[in-house]
Order: sequence, then C-alpha cells, then structure tokens
Amino acid sequence: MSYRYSPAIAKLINAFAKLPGIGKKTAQRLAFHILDDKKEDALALADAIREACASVRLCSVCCNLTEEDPCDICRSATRDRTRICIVENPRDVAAMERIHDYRGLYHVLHGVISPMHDIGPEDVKLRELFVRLRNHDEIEEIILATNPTIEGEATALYIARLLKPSGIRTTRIAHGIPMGAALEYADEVTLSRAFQNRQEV
Amino acid sequence: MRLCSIDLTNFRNYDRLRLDIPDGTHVFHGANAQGKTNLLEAIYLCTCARSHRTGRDEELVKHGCDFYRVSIQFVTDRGLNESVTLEYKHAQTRGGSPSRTIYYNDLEVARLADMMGLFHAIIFAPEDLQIVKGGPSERRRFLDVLISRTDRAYFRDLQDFWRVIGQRNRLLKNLKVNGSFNGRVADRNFSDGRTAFDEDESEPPESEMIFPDPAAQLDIWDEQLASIVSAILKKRLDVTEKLSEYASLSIRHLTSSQEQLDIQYRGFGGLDRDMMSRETIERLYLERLRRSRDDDIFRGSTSSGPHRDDLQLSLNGVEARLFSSQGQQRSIVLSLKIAELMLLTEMTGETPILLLDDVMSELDQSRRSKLMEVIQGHQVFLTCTDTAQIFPSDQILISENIDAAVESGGEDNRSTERDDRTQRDGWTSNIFYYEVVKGTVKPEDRY
Repeated sequence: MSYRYSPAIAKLINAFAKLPGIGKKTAQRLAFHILDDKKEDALALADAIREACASVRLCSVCCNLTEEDPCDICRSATRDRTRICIVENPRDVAAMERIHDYRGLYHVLHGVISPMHDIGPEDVKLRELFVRLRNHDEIEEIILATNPTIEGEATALYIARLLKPSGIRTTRIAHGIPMGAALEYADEVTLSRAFQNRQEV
Repeated sequence: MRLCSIDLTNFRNYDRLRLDIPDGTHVFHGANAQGKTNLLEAIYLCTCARSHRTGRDEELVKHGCDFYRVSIQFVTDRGLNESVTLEYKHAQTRGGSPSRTIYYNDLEVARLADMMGLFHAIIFAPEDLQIVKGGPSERRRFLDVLISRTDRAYFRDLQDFWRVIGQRNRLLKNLKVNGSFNGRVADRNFSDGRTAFDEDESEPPESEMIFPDPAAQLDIWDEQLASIVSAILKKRLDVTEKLSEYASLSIRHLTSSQEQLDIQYRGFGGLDRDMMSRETIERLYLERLRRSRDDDIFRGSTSSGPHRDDLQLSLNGVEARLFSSQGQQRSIVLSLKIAELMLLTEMTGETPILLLDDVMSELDQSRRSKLMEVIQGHQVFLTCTDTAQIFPSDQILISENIDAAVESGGEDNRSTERDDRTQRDGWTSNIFYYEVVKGTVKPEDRY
C-alpha cells in the first residue's frame, strides 16, 4: 500500500496541483518546501494571496484588474481618451503597455467567443464595451488586438460587425514576421499572411 | 532521398530493432504475421505521423507497453544528413491525455504541421484499394495527405478548418435548441398577446439591442469558414487536375493504352475545376452557406464543404467504384500511386523512398514489369511471403539472355549482356534480403 499524506498536507498538495503548469510532483515539492522551514515566508505568501483576492477586482470602465476603481489607466489625465484597444485578458494589457507607444485606453474582454466552450458574446465583457461606447461619444477608434487564433479572429470580426453602424473607426492589429527574426524561421502561415498584407515603401 | 537507419522501440510486435540500411533494394520476407508490414508502416509513419493502416496511435504501441518510438536517419538528395523521431506515450493517468512528440534532427518539432514534407516515402499497400472501392473519406484523405506533404500551409488550413467547422456546428446546434433566430424575435414581439397589427414601441431588452440576433454570430463563422475553405478547395482543385493528368498517363502506360482514367473533383454545386480564383470560390461557398442556413440549423451541422466532397474516378467514362473489375481497380490504384510519386517528386525535388507492401503478388507479369520500370532509381523496401514472387522475371531475364547469347553464338556475348542488364536495371545489382521472424529481422547473405 502506498504512503498516505496526512489530511492537511494532502489538501495543500491538491491546492497547488490545481495551479496552471503545476503537476503532482511539483505540487509535492512546493508543499514540503513551505512546511520545511521558513514558516514566516509561507504565511507572508498566504497573506499576499488573501489580500490580493480581497482587494483586486474589475475596473468598472475597462474591466482590467485593479485595486482602485476606476483603474490607473482609466483615471489618467494624460491618456488619449479617443482610442480603445480591445484585448483578451489583463496580461495583454501589460504586454501592450510595454511598447509605450500606445497612450489610449483599453477594454479587457476576459475571453473570446467560442461556441464549443459555450462562450457566446454575452459571456465576455462585450456588453460593458457597448455601454461604454454609448456613454462616451468622444471615442473615435477601436483597435482590435485579440489574438490571431480562430476564436480571436472571430471575436474581432464580430465586434467589427457590431460597430459598423456606429461609424467608429475600427482597426485590427497587423500580423507578420517578428522583428529581429529571420525570414527562414517564420512558419508558412505567418509568412503568407505577412506577404498578403505587404506595404508600399 | 535515402534511408540510412531505422530504430524501433515497442512498435507493434517489435521490442527493439535497429537496422543500418545501405542504398539499394531491400526485401523482407517471412511467414504471415511476423512483422514485415509493421516495418514499412514505421517508415511511412515518419512522412506524416499517420499510419497508412490506422489513425489511432495507441494501436501502434506493443501490447503491454506504454510508449513507442520510431526513429529514422536519412540523407536528402542534396546530401544532408537528417533524422526524424516520433514518440507516443499512452495517457499516464486516468483521464489524462496521451502525448506525442516529434523530433527533427533531434530538436523537438512544435507543431505537427512542421513535420510535413521532411521525409518522403510512398507506400503501395493492399489498403490502397480502398481509395477506389471505399467511401469518399478515403479519397479525401489520399488527397489531403498528398497536398499536406508538399504544402504545410495546407495542413494548417485543414486544422483550422476542423476547428471552425466545430465552432459553427456547435452554434448551429445551439440555435436549433433555442429555436431559430427568427423564432426568437417573433417570441419577443408576440409573447404578450399582441399581434403584428399592434404597434410595438417598447424598447427591447438591452441585451438584444446589443447583440442583434444570433444570426450575426453565424455570419462571422461563415466568413471565417469561407476564407479557409476557399484556400483548401483552390489547392485541391489544382492538385486534382495534375493528379488526373499524371494518373491518366500512367494508366495508359500500365495497360498499353487500353484504359482511360479521368479524375474530377466533386465539390458543392457550382464549383468547377476550370481555373477558379480563390475569391470566386469564397464568394460561391458563402452563397452556398447562406442558402443552406436553415437546413444547417435544422441538421445542427454544416451540409457542404471540403468535408463532404469527393474525387470522382472515371474509367473509360464510367464511375470506377461501381463499374470496374477487381483487376481494373488495381490498375487505377497503381496509376494513382504512380501519379502521387510523380507529383511529389516534381513538387519537392526529392526522390521519395518506395515501400511496397506485398503488392507484387497481386499484379500480373506485364504490370509488374511496368512497375519495375517506375521504381528504378529509388530506394525500395518491399515485403513478400516468398522471394520467388518478387523476381520471377530474373529467371526469364537470364534465360532470355542465354537464348540471345546462343543465337548470336558466343560465350563472351552472354557475359557482357548479363553485365549490361545488371547495370541498366541498377536494381538487380544490390538487393538485400532479410528474413522477418516474430519481430526480429535477420539480414541474409544471398549474392
């Protein structure tokens, strides 16, 4: 018969194993690491989790994760309030912010339309987007920055379709060859897409 | 292209096998169920990660084991040394998923699409007869595998196609359950007892104002689908045209011009093979989807598209599947395979390796010798139960030569003609024999 962990340890291991990218073995390692010594570090971690869970919520304007509502970006006086960039999740906001070029606002969908997973337009933060557009007529451009996956494309197309009657300028980010990458390493689909969307120089 | 070595672990009935392979023709013989075909299957697997016999990887794992590995080393016609390795592991836990890993030159290949077209082998096997006799899916697979091997973007398009069609079908089913979108609008208008004669100025609920009707969602998937379908169909039409040309050439050669073969791509109505542009196909398919929408919602699935199409094989003007004899069907399959070989060689610039699984015994003398001509210059692997089946022509050849020599009257002549023949054939010169017994392969010294 195999060795059985005591209930508290088993519970901890199972909790770790639910995290993305953590398997059974890693979960065990983490659990024992926490219990081994430095209990104060572990308790600090527990506090950090508790605190984040309690204070972080969705921004009522853009649906990004924030502690203060509205979030930093939505409150900022220096940002361009005529543009909204639509992304799939909060991580994408962080990615876009790293380029520093974009000074507009965001809207986080928290998912993409996918009938196979029972996610329809009502299940992502689209309603919030349209309410926002209705209340803010200063918005001139919507930038669709969902991922270039089947579902990301479908969601972008869907939003573009709904926006059409409003006359708001709608753009889609370009797909192409990563900078600094050699052409020979690009996969065929990326390369052909980049080729189709070539530009005059 | 030349295979240099093959390594098998837990594959079918092989525990462990390592073979170093020189150039030439390799004959694997032995009784039934010893593992001859399994060997060819393993080599073929390295071309497109799908066996010619099954789509289920778990069947390839030796009984009682939890993984298999197939590894080959080969040299391309440009002289590069390359290798492909496939690993498959059963699910490790209940409810877990099995894993497949592919390595190219010892580096992991991220996507299945990226292994297409690395290694080229063509298999001639008894199962091929299904291309003529079987249902449309057999012919679609033949075409899909062929195109994918010369065009990775096509394979990606196919993967995307299945994804989009899955999404669209799911949406169709949802629409069916919720009543068609027309029905839903009608419900809202008339649910409170008013009729269309009563003016309805009340605002519809906000959600419906924002999401006009579920049909708008279907539009999006239709558009996505049409874009991918047009790419797939364009390539299928182009390749079918070439395939038809080459197959009709080779059947004429095989049958001394007795048979005429024509291959047509049979898609949704209105699609023809006369140089249609991708844009035209996309527009036609979109129209088709719109027209069949109600029907599709009713069925909960997409009624037309690349997953429903067929290749029509006509022999002497009539449908081959229904009106040709067993022998004629064999000729058709053989000419399709030779056409595949010609196309692959033309499009990749590599000479594929040929795998002949017990096919010689099924061919008559004239077809056998025609096939021999075709396979000259390729590295060949073949299986048989009896080696005498493979080279009966050898006997005839020698006696013919002796006759000729006797007629021309000289010992010297005979030996030079024999040498000529050996050189010209290239294939009688280095044949390697192996006996296959219960998952072991023993090289034999014959010549």
